[in-house]
Amino acid sequence: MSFIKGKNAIVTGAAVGLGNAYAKALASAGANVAVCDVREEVHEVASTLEKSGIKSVAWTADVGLPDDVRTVVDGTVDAFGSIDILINNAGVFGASVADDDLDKTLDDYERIVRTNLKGEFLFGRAVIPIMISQGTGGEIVNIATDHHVTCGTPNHLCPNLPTCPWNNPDIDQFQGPPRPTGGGDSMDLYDASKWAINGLTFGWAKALKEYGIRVNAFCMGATDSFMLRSFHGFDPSPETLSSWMSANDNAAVLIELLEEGPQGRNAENMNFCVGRPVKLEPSLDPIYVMKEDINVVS
Amino acid sequence: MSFLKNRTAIVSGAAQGLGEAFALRLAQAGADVLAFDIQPKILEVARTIDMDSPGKVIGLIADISKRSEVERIISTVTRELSPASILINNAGVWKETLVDSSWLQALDDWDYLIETNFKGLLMLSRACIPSMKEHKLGDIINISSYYVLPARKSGTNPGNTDLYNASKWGINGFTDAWSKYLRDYNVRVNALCMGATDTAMLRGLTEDGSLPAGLEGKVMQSSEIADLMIELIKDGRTGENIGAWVGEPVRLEEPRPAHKRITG
Repeated sequence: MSFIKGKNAIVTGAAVGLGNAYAKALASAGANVAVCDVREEVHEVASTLEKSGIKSVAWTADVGLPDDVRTVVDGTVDAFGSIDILINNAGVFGASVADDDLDKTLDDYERIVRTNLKGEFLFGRAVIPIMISQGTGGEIVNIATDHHVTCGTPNHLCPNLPTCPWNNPDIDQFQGPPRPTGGGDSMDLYDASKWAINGLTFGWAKALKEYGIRVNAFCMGATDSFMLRSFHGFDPSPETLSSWMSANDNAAVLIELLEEGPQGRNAENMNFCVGRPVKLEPSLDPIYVMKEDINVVS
Repeated sequence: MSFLKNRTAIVSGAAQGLGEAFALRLAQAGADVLAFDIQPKILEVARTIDMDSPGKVIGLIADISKRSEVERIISTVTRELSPASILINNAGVWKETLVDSSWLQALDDWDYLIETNFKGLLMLSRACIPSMKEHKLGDIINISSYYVLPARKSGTNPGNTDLYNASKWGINGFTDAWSKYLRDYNVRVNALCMGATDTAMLRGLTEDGSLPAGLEGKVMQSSEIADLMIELIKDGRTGENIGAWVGEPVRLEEPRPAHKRITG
């Protein structure tokens, strides 16, 4: 019995990369999928998705603009009648350092924080009241980064010890297992925007448990995507390319997560870091919220 | 006690509560202090601290969420004292933000909480860091919340505080990246992740200004946290979230291993 089949979903940033893979996987699993992106190609994505026999609608939209968000969310309700699943995926990256001047900083803030954090905030806050009033639960998945989680796996329990790149002391200024948080020194606004998503994930999970709405996050390491290819000038070396995870593998995990249904895990940051298998791992005990705060009502 | 003699500190949100206690302790330790706040009473507070301590203390009314005000803070400290080598990023606001609030309320709440707690902290730090880097001396302490550390018996965030939480979680990105970027320049960056402290922010939650129910006799005192701040500056570690929890002794614990410095 599929939880996803017949449900209505929104995927932001769905023209390329992970968002595109999530949208396709949801459509294949039988969900109607509303997509948006700043890229015009998102309209072609909708046509492609409909070949799975589901309904799809698309908007060119900037997730950091409140009016654009309302257009997508209200338009989805008009088209599908309800919203059951929100995949808060759209994001941008950029380099920024501690002593950048204020002009650059405010430009970066406008682009990175407005898209990555305000975008997820706005979509969540537009969709949540709708999910609550529907009274049928819901699923929210925020997409974040592995920069803000440790790999979490003690060395002696790691299934990939010999191959794990994080076991190489040369790769990081810190040494020793488990891998420390992965953020470096030159993406401070990107990292801050993604760390801040924890506030949304844990805050929403706690406030929404009584409505049967689950809120989880994917903390993504290097995945073959538009974002990462652009970071490598669209010409990654074969070795680099082969180290990346596949967006489709990650989308398959998303489907597994959603299929857990309302009784599944909640308020969890799922970490996908290079060197480990891309799979749905067993649910972890919550760390940053009390267990009783987020147990889903039956 | 004058180990901070010849150093200049900026304390944001210093008109009351934690910020006032930080400014006082820094001045008592010999530092010159620019203490600013959006509230006019900062001028009187600064004057009082100035009279009672060896460090020179200047008060300034300024709104950290405005770029022009941040630039005025920097020009004032440079002109009146000297470029700051200590920055206590204390200014912050708290507000409940209901997940099912109206759309317009959500947009207002974003501006209120994120512009001060997150963007203001970012702008002021950016404006202070170049001179710290140049002089190879700096201590930055971000004031955060115990919500960003693993839950203990005092619980975690109440529901319906998504934006306050986000603003504090976001600071982790700054503490982590700045500590790494500035490590070779003798600039340390840490965060104090605070539980409930007897401050005007906390008392502002009740109509009569008393402590919220259940917290009487339990909350931490600003002076204890200011002592912890001084201890942290003396200690010299960097890149760590230091917790202070209601119901537990306030003390600087041993440095945590790399993979737990930020995540706890």
